[in-house]
Amino acid sequence: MALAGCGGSDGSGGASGPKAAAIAAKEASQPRRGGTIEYGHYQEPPCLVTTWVQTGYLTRQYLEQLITVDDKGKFLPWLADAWEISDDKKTYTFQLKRDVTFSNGEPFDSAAVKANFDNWFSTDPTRRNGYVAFHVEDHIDRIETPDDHTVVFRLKHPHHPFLSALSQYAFGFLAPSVIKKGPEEWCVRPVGTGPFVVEKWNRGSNVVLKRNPSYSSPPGDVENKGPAYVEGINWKFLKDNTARWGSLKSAESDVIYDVPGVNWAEANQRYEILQHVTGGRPSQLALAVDHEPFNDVRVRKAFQYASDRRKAVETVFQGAVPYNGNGALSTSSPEHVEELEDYYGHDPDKANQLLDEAGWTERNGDGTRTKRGKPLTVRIVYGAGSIISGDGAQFLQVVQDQANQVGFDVQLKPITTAEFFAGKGRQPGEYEIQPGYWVARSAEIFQVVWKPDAKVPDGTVIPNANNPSRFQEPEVWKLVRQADRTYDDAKRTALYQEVQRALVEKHAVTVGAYPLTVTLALGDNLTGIRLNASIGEPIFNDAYFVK
Amino acid sequence: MARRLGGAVFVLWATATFTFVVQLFMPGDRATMIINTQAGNLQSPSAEQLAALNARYGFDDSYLAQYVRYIGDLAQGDLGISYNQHQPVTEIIAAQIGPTIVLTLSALVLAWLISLVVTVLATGRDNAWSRAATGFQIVTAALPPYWIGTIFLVVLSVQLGIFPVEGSNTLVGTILPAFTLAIPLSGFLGQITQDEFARVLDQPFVTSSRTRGIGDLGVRLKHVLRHAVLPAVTLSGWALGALFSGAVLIEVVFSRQGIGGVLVQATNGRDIPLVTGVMLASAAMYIVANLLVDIAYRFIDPRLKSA
Amino acid sequence: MSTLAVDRDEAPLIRLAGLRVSFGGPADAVCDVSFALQPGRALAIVGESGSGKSVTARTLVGLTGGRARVGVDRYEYRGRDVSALHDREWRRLRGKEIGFVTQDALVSLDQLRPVGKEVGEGPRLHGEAGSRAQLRARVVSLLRDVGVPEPELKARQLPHELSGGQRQRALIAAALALDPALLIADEPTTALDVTIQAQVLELLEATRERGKALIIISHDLAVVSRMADDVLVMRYGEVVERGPADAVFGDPQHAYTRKLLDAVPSAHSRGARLSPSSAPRLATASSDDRTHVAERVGGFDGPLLRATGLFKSFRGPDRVSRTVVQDVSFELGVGETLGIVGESGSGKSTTARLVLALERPDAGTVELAGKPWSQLAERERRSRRQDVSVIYQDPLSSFDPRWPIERIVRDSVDKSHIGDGRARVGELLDLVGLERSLRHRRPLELSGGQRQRVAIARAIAVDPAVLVCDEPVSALDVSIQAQVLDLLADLRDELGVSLLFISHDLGVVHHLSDRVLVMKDGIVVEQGLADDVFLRPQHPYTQHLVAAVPRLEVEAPRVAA
Repeated sequence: MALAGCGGSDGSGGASGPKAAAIAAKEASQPRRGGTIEYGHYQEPPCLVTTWVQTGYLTRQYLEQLITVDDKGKFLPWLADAWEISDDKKTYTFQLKRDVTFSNGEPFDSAAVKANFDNWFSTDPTRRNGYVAFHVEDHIDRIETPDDHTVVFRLKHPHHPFLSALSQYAFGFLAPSVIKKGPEEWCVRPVGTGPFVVEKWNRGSNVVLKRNPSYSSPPGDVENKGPAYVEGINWKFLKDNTARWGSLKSAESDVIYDVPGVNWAEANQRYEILQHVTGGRPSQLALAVDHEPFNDVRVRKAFQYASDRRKAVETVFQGAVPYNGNGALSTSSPEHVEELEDYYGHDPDKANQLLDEAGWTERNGDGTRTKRGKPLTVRIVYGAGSIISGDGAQFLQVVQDQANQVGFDVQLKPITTAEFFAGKGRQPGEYEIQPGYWVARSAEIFQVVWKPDAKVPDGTVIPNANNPSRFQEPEVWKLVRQADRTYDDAKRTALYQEVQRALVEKHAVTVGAYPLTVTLALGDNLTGIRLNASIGEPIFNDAYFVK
Repeated sequence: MARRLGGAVFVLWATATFTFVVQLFMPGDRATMIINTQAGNLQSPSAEQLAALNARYGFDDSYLAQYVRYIGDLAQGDLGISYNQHQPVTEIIAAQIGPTIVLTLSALVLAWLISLVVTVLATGRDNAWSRAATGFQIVTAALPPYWIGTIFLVVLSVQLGIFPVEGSNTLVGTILPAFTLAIPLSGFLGQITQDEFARVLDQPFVTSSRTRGIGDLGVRLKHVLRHAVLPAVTLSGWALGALFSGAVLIEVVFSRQGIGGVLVQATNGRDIPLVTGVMLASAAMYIVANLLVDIAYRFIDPRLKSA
Repeated sequence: MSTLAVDRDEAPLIRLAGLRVSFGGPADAVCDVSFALQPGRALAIVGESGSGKSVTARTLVGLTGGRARVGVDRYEYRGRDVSALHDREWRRLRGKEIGFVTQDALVSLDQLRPVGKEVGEGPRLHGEAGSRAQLRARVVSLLRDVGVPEPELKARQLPHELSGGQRQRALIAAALALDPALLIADEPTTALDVTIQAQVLELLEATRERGKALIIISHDLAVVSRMADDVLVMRYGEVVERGPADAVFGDPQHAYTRKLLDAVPSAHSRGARLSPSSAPRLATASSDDRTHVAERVGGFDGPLLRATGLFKSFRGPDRVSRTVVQDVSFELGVGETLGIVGESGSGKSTTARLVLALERPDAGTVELAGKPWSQLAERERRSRRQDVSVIYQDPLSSFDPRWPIERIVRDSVDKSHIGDGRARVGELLDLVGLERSLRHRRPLELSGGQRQRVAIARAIAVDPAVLVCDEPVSALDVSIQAQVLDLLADLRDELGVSLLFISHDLGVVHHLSDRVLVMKDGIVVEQGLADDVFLRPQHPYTQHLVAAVPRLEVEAPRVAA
């Protein structure tokens, strides 16, 4: 859900004159054409089409999906006008919009959809789309294209999150001719049907997006049915926090992404703020249950009680990011169980008691608890600068301090991005805790994270790398599968909530921290920007300059 | 000339070989790494996927075969395709190296200007300005460029609005980053030059020139300066290398295009062809820098020509 | 206050009275110097290091230097008061009115600029350069006037491509470029070979004869005696004696002047001590365990050192091989002194290195006490190394500057295994006339003469039979030089040490040597007894050398002009 304008209307701090006046002027204004939006973004992707979240914000501007979702969880038409689900829930039939063309003139039709899916499921790693594959490859039996404007997905079994998956950023379609040319082409000259066209990518600096003048395929939640009001977007990569914030202050940017924590209070006072809490798995600490000490649920619970995570998040992020104590699901996901937020409050006494019960009763010279002479050591291995930001690392330090007070010996092991992706320190047994998140819209993430390890016919086991806690209780996975196949909303929600309770209350395998949050700060001149309900991609179709 | 060319080829070969060996010893499986980076997430690649990738990049071959192919490709100017950007490495580097060269060269020129002005005006004069100048050089030589850059950005761009915040690759946008890199270097070069300047100022030929009626500034500019710059000129080849690595940080602070961003991305993504390309480009720059230093040295010290 | 030459008709060009210069030390560097000088006259200021003569000269053009405090009762140039000029006004006088030839000629031209630029600098600075072609022509003619060969070429060349004499001439040409009325020359002949020295002196002479006033600063009494009309003798910043040259040199009034004159070595001083009897001398009394060289080599009656047909060549940076020593043969007997004279590049230092076995001859042999020496492998030679010792011109560069004197000498004593280390260091210091209290000083804290004594102490610590002396007194003031020469003579006479004495200074060699070798371009052009060679030279080159030596013209005082 997008918390639009939380600074002004909810009265957080005395919204001062210029901001209030600007918002009033924006509300009173009518859409005007013209102008180029100077947008100060953060990270630059290596390629203009990847499944990385940071690329998702960008691809939203030129690639479009079959459907979208609004902030109430309702699926809306986009490149598909309408869809139908068979009674056995195994056939999804989509009717495509007519007369939609890619910006290079190629028609958008069912063959184009099929070509994209084939590309995503390719075994060629430079083509394969892992995100799409995780979410739907297991469930699709085949894709049929009876005519140019009809796409039929035959599923192996009912899978309710299928629509939710299709509404995700990673399902945007490229023109078939570009697919044919391969990543060399789409990485720098992607062609889609979207409201903007990539004109030029000045690597290291910006992507120049121009309005698509023949645009005709807005999603259901966009008011402007034609081409965008603005002439284009100068999508700049301002990696340095000071520079990005300074760029907004000096009006070199009309809008920036991710206000730095130190500037949050000032930003809130002065600028219109758009914020979106991303769904799916929040940033949480996955506790490795496959070996000591976290193979004992009492130790896991003790670790949850040991630290005041809510306070740590408030201290570190200074309000820019909310707390997410339920490690199983993000607060913005519709199935999120609210009472799990504070299920493990800060309670050192309880933590001590649990550790005593678990047999960690002795102490060594450092004050660390021991059991049979073995210290209660916990290694937190994390990808510094990539998965865990600087602020995130501070959060870990607070947790470390507090856990050490009840007798843990918490060791922080930052590893570089390169090492992280190479899997260093992340093999089973090399860590006790791994922090991480997985962006999605909602509880459909469970089937990605908690899927048990796969056994290939020759007997080797391919571990599910998305499940660092190695927790594979068959009863929980059964619940997930059951929920995914339940089409009754109330029942399904109840099942997903049961999964959360099992993960948090009963098994305590995940320690909640904070959700991934998208924040945009807008200058006084620009209005009409929205953050998408899916992962908070900024939508510029309706954006215009007030004067 | 032939010897110099041979030396250059050797440096490039050594750099390429070093990069090749280092990447073999980096942790983790290369194919898995590429898949993970491309997915932006941790994957559990199947054996087929890994096999496909290994075949594509030839990771299955013996190290010797990989090395021979790699050097062979390099010799033909083929630096390969970036794993993550999917573009020819030569194109990526060609597109990015220009702004970095502009930045490092302007920083070098500025550093020289600052250190020379301070040296010429202040050295060997027993006054407050001279002491302040010496202090200035000691302090600036110790300042980290990243810190200077951030201060410049906050004060001059954000607060005062004199310079653009986004150091796009315009002339104005180059001023702050160039100064940021130049200031610590100017302190370093200045200290060396000032010592030498003070020494030369006492040389008999300087007194000799004074007896012909030359003024103090004249003797400093016409006679002493040329001698005094020689040690620092020798170090300028090294300094250009230092500026190059400084540029990697500063380009991020000022959101500039340049090889720095490429290197960061390439290293983080373990994009071996790209890392190799950047290393070779740096080595080439180093070679050119030293060649320029040699030329400058011969220009300043004509004794070398006749020797 | 008596001023020189005030009785002359012509008005003085320059008149100085009561000059005082202080650098902030306890004593003034220059105290109460006065003189006057007419056009066409030459004034010499003589004195040893630290006498204040160079400071006086520089003060005359307002270039005393950094922190100096200068006071003067009266300073007039062409009758105009110049005692309080600003630097800007001084600059108008420098080069234009007063030409100045600075000391250290070899390094007084900017090494990075063509010689012609330096010579043309004066005219350019004073706006008299004219067009580029005019200036070039003027520079060439100036260089030609001072006798630089191939002036067009030399004007384009860098200083290091010129010989020492050419550099000194170019420097004089630069000083004369604007035809100044007064020329000040500070040590204009130091470090030059005798023949070059003679040419430079002629050049200065000619300048004076063109009606220019000349002030010549020198430590070399012989040079001054030839050139000067009037003389100022300075010591410790004060003028101790003044007067017409013939009067000062012919009948010195002040004891210091007499001492200086006595200290000059020459043919006449052979066999006599140069330094006053009060000077420290070789103390043989303490060296009871020391034996005369003759006893040590007892039984052997041939020459102690015999060099036969030595050849040595080196490859230069241009990869052309040059023969620097050609067919050199000589003998050196026990207690004998063999002098080697020659100009720079004559091969005399290389000959010394061959004798020291620091270089191996390409052909020929050196024998020591009848046994092979130069042909030996270094390993075999090591045990006899102490038999041949050396002292150089600049002892400082062969000392570790961080070591105290005691350690420097002790280092050699330990190698010699003679006597008890510490006691022997004391004996050696006594022997060379150094106070024992200096043993804890470091080389930089000693005077030049003291340093050379340390070098000698170190050299004789190993009890050598042969002492090679390579320009041992070239850097020393005349009175210090006298002491060192006396010391060497004592070593020879009382201990029987043989000396191989190398110098460009014919007077010094003549004073000390029994026999002399004259070298030119690596060849021995003449050898024989010292008196024969210097008084009755046979070879034209020797004749040329001897003629070029400026002599202290005391016996035949010039007729006052």
